[in-house]
Amino acid sequence: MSSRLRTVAVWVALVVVAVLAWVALEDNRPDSFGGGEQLAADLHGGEVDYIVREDDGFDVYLLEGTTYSVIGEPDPGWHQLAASYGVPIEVGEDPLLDIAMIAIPVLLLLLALVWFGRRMQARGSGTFTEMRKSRARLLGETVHACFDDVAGADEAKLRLADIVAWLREPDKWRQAGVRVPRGILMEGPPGCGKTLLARAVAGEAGLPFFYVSGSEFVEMLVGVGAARVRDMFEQAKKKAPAVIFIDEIDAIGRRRGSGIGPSHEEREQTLNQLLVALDGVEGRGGDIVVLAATNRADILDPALLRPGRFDLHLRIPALDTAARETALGIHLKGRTLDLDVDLAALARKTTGWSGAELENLANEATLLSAREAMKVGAPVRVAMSDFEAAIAARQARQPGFDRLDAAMVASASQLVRPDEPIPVRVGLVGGGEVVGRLLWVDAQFIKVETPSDSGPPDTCVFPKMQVQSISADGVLESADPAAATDLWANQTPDLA
Amino acid sequence: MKIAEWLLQQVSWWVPLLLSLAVHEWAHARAAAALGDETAHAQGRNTLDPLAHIDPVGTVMLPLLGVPFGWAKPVPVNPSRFTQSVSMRLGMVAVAMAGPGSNLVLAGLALGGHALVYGYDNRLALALSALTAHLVMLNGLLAIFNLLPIHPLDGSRVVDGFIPDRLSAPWVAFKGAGIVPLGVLLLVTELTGFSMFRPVLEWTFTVLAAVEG
Repeated sequence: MSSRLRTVAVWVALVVVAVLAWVALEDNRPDSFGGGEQLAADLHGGEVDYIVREDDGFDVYLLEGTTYSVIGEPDPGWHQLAASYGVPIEVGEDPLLDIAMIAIPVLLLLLALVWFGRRMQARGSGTFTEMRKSRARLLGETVHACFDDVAGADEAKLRLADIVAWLREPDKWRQAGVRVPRGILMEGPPGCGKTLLARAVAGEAGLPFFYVSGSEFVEMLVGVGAARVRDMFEQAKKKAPAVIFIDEIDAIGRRRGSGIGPSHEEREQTLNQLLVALDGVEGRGGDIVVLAATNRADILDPALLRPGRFDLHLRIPALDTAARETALGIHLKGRTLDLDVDLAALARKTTGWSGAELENLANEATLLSAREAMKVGAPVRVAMSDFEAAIAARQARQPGFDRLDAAMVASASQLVRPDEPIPVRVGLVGGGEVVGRLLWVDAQFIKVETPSDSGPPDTCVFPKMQVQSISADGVLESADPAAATDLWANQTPDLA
Repeated sequence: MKIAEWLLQQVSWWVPLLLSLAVHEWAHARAAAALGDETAHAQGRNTLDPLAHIDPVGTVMLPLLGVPFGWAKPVPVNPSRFTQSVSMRLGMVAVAMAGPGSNLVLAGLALGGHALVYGYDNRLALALSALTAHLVMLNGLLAIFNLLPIHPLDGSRVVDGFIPDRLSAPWVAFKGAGIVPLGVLLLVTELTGFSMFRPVLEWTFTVLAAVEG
């Protein structure tokens, strides 16, 4: 509603209310004024229905329906007269009027204050008590996963399987003197299954799974984050044994003292509370395993990482070829594939892709084939060409770099991704040479397309570590091959 | 008197009061905006919407308690944002005068409306003539009362604009006393029977009676 319209509406509403109030008031007014003589005459005539005493006189209600008002006490004997004619006298003054005159405005004021308060809170985020509640969500049975859903990260799975075994039969393990890790920190590049692994732990152990993201503790108000940590552990205690999963823990677990200002203080309070809760000085009460995930383990507070808090650090690495194949298999479960689809080949082509990217690839390829299939009403069969189109589409989305300059090819670390394929000659560590077109360069890998004798060209991906020298083919050789080799050898391995 | 009756009576006074206060505050804001100061406008006060001007105590509680006194949220004015065409002093005087002036205009309009609806024997006309009469009385009171040259009232802003330099120190000291002088004046005049409001009310009665013929 525009403000002008609103103004008009408020005015109209107010005037209508006032008019109605006045009309109602007018209806209660006596029709006329009379004197004591008239009252006496009407009483004698038997025309009076009843009399209402007011604070400044009385109102006379006649049988014929009209009323009149008498001011003051004209004749002290009138009520005896009324009594003798059997006319009832009522007290018009509301006994509660004095109280109401104070109470009603006060009530109105309180209502107005409450209303204003509500409006203020609606702008913020909920009431104070709600704010102090943890945002942790208890995920239902349906969203639980199992370890088979996770591709790769075999070592991490092995360790987590121990935890699951412990959680299933804590007493047996306790007798053997084993203490379950209090906290498990999973770190690794984004999209490689940290969240999925956490869910798998809860799913395999059959435990309640509390999911919360680190940033959900953070609020402008001081003390809210700490209160939420306490609330989360209390909730989990009620359901123990349970798994708490804090995603993106770096949002609160950042090294303390690394900033100034009130928001840092608030974050540090939250972290302190989390440390205390993990420590369990107050008794963890029940078996709660805290899982946390981050891809910035380097910025976490050391106190968070020490044994007793997060005992176990698991690296969830980027997916290797076998894991990518498994992941594709998992994500393509239930979809009909063409016979020519070779998951192993796809896995080789998708070096460096995360699980999430593979899931996306599977979905994109299915979408492409479904689009075609729906046109002709055929059942959806995902073909290898669909996958290749999806891969090409994804690579086309990557931002381009400057064109490769032949002179700067001394070291693979200087390589930038070319806008279009460039003919190169790649010398590999340990001998061997690949001649082809350079398609792709990122932080760790280069991708070279090699012509094959039959059919479409092959694509191979090499880790930069494996590249001894690279030169623009057919343009010029590296100016000083020895220097190039040297440079490359001095590179610190930058594989994660 | 019944509680309902009392409430209805309060409403029949309170609604005209609310509208009059809205007009008063809007006039300040409008005048300031016309002179180039958009402060009040930016705070959403340059509107006739009474809800924008309500003060919970001064506009809601006191009048409904039957206290014959009230106020709305003051409109903020920043004279340093006035256009160059007017001096800051003169601009403040104009903005201050706009409030009581608007009440005089509204009283005049209500008087005209009262003359139009008076004398018909139907409920709507009766109610409207009562409400317009209330408007005339309230706006007369608001206009005159606000012109008193005592600190929080608009009249004191007029004094601000015209006070000679040699008197400005005692005047500032007087303003420093806050609302105490006004409160004392009101209490003393009302309790001793020299009410400032009564003559104003009597004038409005005279004018109303003249219009009613």
